[in-house]
Amino acid sequence: MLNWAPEAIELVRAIAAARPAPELTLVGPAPPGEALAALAELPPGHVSKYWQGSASGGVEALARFFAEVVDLAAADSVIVLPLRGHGETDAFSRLVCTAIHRACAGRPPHVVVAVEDPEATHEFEGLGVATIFYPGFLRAALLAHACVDLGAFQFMLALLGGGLRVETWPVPEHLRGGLFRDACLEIDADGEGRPVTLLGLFAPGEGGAPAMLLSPGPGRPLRDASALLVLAGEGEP
Amino acid sequence: MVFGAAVLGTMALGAGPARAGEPIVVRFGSGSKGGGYDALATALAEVIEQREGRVRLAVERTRGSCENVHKLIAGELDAALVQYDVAAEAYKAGHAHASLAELGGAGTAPSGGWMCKLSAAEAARVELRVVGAVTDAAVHLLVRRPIRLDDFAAIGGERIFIGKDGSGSFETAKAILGAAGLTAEAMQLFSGGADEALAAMSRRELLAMLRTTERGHKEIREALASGLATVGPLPEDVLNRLIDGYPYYRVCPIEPGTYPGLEFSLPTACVSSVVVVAAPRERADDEAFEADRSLAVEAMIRGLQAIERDKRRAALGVDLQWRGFAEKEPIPLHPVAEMHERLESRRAWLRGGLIALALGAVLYGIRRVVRRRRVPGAGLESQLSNPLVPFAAFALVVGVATFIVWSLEHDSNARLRTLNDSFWEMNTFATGNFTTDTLKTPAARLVGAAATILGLGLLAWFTAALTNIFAQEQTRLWRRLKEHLVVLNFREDMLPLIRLLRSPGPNRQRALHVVVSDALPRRVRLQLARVKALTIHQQNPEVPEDLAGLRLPRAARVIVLGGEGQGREPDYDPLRIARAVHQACARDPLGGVQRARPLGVAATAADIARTAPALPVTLVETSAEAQAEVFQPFAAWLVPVDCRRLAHRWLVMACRDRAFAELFNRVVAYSDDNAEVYTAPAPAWLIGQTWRTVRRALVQLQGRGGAVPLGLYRAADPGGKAPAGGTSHAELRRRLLVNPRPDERLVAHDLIVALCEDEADLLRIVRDTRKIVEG
Repeated sequence: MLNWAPEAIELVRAIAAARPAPELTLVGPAPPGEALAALAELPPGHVSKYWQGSASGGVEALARFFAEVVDLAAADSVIVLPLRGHGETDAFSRLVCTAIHRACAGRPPHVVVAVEDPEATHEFEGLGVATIFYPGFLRAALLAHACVDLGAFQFMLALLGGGLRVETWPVPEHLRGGLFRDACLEIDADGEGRPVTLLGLFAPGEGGAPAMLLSPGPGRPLRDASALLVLAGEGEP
Repeated sequence: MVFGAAVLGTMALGAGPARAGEPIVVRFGSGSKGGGYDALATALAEVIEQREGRVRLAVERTRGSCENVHKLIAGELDAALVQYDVAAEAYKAGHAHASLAELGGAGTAPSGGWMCKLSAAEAARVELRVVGAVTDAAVHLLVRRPIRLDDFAAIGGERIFIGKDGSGSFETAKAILGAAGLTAEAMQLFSGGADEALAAMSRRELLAMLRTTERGHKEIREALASGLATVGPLPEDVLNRLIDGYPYYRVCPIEPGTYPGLEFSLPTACVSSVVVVAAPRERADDEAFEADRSLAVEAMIRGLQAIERDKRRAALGVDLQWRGFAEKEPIPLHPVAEMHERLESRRAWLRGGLIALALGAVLYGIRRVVRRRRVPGAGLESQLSNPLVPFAAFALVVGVATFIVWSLEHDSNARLRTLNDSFWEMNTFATGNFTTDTLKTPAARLVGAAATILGLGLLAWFTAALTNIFAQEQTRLWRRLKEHLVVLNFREDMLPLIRLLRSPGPNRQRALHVVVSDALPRRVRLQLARVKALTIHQQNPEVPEDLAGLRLPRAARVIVLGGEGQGREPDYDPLRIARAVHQACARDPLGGVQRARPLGVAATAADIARTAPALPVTLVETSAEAQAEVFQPFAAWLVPVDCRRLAHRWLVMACRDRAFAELFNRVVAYSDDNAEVYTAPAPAWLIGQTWRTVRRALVQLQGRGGAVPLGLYRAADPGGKAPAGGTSHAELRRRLLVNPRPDERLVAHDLIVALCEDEADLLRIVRDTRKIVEG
């Protein structure tokens, strides 16, 4: 987690509560003493390392820091938080992302960036950012769905609750010649017999890259599908 | 078949009761040979004979109504066809004599001028009863061309024809002349028949003819077609005096097109011919006689009904009626005829009831369809502000009043002869110009007064609705305060919420009310002001009185946003706002004003439960760690949403599941694809089915884009009573089951949660599962 500050302690708690609990490394501008004091209230083992570092010293220096000290390329996922007090917040995050990109030689891990201004989204293009998150949109989406249908709202909460997993499954060979309907009828449980729901599939989109097709309709052929999108969890075996 | 007067081996009604098995012979007076009465009587006799009953009709030819009524009174006939004015005069004469006799002056009374030279003492010997009116005739005033006759006084010494002495037509003409202030004796009357009169008219020896005959009569048509004469209206004052003095007639029109060249409706008088039976007063208690008489009347009625239905006898013009053929009908119906009248009346009511029921069912069906499809403008409030509604109601009032007034008065009021006359008169009334000059009867005046009052009210409504339309802002506000969305304590960073609520989706058409603080930047207000169907309220959301105008109990949802806590705007507290919402609802007339708690008294769970029914589902944005406890008293209607915690969860999920972020964004964005989440009630045929069956049925159906079933949204108490607080509160007590067990059975009130294109598509797909599940 980059640009972490002690105010974001709740996010650390949330990550620590995830199952399976990931190994968490924090990087932020705060001095280690201040950060460790804030982290002290957490149970031991939740945070493996804390490094002090930011883009204030330049992108190149930060990139070297990421590559040589933090070993960012080995991370499974990277969260870039908005860091207030260092100029324009999202621009500062973009510098951090540039450093990540350079540190990982153009092949960064799964990077999730939280922005303060949704209009800044396009500035992260070409930096290997997988997801850009704007908290205001999440709030708006949740409240708007609650206005439409409380069932839909509860489903959003369930998605965020951690009990559900969005998984990518390979397309079974014997279904290659079939339709999405056939896959829905056949795939209703995981290997351990727990109920799952087939939500959609991945198929070549613009430029040939796999694109997510949600609920593509029962008549959609599976012949060009590269994977299936499955919602697992919560159900009882 | 015409029977002679002397029928051997049978028993005539007048002679005494027939023994069992013997035919009952009715001596029936008709008219002159070849005339309408003769043809009808002969046909009736034939029909009765064909029906093989005991009753036989012995038709006797006479000179017409006068001779018939004389013979009925004398006991020489049992029944006869008589023009109603003549019969009514005989009845009236008899009763006048009876009244006089009771006073002891009958013997010394001078002889009067009853029609057909009837004597009151003679008429008092029998009781006349009407079997039914069978044909109808109109008075025709034929005037030699090119003379136009507007006043009978203009006839002067010219010769006129008014029919043969002794006929009903002659008596009617005498009554009309009397209404014009003339006497037949003082006129130069033509003494021949109708044919001879026409010939005399062609020789210019005759000025006018007054003939009472059916409309469209062949001879009159020929006379008009030849240009010999024109048919003219009876003057209005003559008609009114005639009806006032002789209410056995009725005012009626000779409609345009009845005769060649007749282009306008002509007001005239009509009189019906009735079948009358006479019973000597001394046999009033003779039960056997009455029984035979009843059989005879029954046979005659059935015979007349058969003739009425027989298309081959349509030329006879029989239209059997019990009532309503004259302005007043003093002669009572025979009991058998009364029974038929009651039966017909019951059938008519039954038919009317069935039609009303069918109409009601159709209207109910339309209402249900309109409600189901949520047709815009179908609600009561929309109708109140729709000027077409009072306009339509005005037209309905005028239409109904037109028909009722015409029904009541067209027979007696020369100014309301046609529906057209009545329509324009009722228009005058309904626009507030009531007058007693036009309408004669109290019932019609009452209808006219009601039409005036209703019309004025509807016109006022119409004017108000139009005014309302011109006051657009007010109208919009009125319409927007039902099933609306309310956002309290709005702040700048929640503009995406407004964008989402106005993006294509179910909420797009819902009115949106946003309560903002003074500190909200002007540029944000300007942005909000450009949003369609959005109303900005600058109020303090913590003050219940400020929220009263939002009509919160009628809101679909209330969203309470938390403060930013950065000092830029007043820091309104979500909990205090929630309390204000509660108070505002409790004070609202729709929210239970009678149970409102006084201000200043702390909210308790008991109070909240007491006032809960009209509280809208309220979503409160909060980040308080102890939210569950803080908002616990409001749990029945309030959902705390800890957005910061959920944002953290989102980041965690996005890191853990690579596809999560895209899935979530696609699901919540109301984009064009087939991936929005909706719920649909499980129909009856899915209740009790396993989730495996339901799921398999749903995924097979295409709809517009297909549906991916995700799970069930189950009531907290399936099949139990609805919780206090109404549907919104019940919704909050549901729990979500994602990926239910395959053997989980659906229960009543379950909602199916699915990914689909829109709510309507899901409803359609769920409805179509019936074919699969039951097939």
